[in-house]
Parts: sequence; C-alpha cells; structure tokens
Amino acid sequence: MTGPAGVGAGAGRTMVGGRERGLPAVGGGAGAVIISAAPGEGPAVRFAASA
Amino acid sequence: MARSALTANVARRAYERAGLGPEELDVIELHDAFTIAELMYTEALGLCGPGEGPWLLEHGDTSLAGRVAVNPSGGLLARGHPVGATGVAQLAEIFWQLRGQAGRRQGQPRRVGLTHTTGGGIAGYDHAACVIHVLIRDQKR
Repeated sequence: MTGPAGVGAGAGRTMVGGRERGLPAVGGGAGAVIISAAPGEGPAVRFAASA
Repeated sequence: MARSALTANVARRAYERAGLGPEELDVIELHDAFTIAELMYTEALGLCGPGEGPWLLEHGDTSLAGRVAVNPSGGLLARGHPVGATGVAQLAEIFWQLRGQAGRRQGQPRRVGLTHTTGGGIAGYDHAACVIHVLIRDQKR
C-alpha cells in the first residue's frame, strides 16, 4: 500500500485515502470500498460481505 | 472445543451474502490465537471437511503457493495479537494480497480474500463472537 487506505462504513460510501470522495460505491453488501490513496496505481478492493 | 459451530455458521452467512463459496477463496487471514486454531478454523470455514485440516496443511494447500494461502502475514501467533488492532492488521494484509502488494508474502495473484476473528468464549465451549469479512479485488480497475 502506498498510502493510508480508506475503510468506509455504511452503505454507498466510497473512501479514498481516508477521505470521502463521492465516487460511486462498487458492489453491494456493506457498500464500503477500500481504494489506494493513489487511484490508478492498482485494483480497488471491495467488501463483498460481512457477517 | 475441537469444532467451532459459531465460525461455521458465520462463514455460511458471509458466503451467502457474498454469493460465493469457500472453494473460491484465494487468501485468508484467520484467528489463530492458539496453535490448534488454524486446523479448527480451516475446517469450520469449509476449506475442507471435518478432520481434514491436518491433511490440508501437510499437503501445502494452505501455503503461499497453495490453492488458498492461510495467514500469509504469519497470523496472530507470528505477527502478534494486539487484540483490537488484529482485525485491522488482517484487513490490511488481505488488501495488500488482493492488490499484489504483499512483497515476499505475495505468492500468486489473488482475487478473493477473507478475514476471520473470534473470541469472548469460555474454555471448553465455543466463542461468543465472530466476525468474517469477504473482500474481492475489483476487476474493473
């Protein structure tokens, strides 16, 4: 990881580098997305499910 | 407690919500606070049948080069277990693994990862709490 990952809580929020950017969330479930602090450096990782 | 019904039940719910099964997992960080735990939880997570955990380990299925890498970070016993921070460390490791940024721990490319943490039980009984996250690398990026 090249920078701090944003871990979003709550449906539909997309966090980049710990800050909400208003981007569309990827996938369903918790709706939280982790993206690198430097978009474009690599694939995003999303929560598919939590239980 | 040689079987964890709690972990098995929570895993089943997580797989249902994610729309996938344990056979699709590429990498796992599980709660191995004790030496027996990896064997118990590989079975409870459905990576193998009851009693087959040792076979899975002996045949290298859970190694970095295996079909599903288990605790590439070293797990709780090797990396450390600072309780609350353990769950964050598990998520960070899976995040790095799915993005191909885990360095010498990387092994092969991975798409689906899982974190598992559990605790709060009484000796001889199952645990009181268990949380499982399933994470997927976004193919569109």
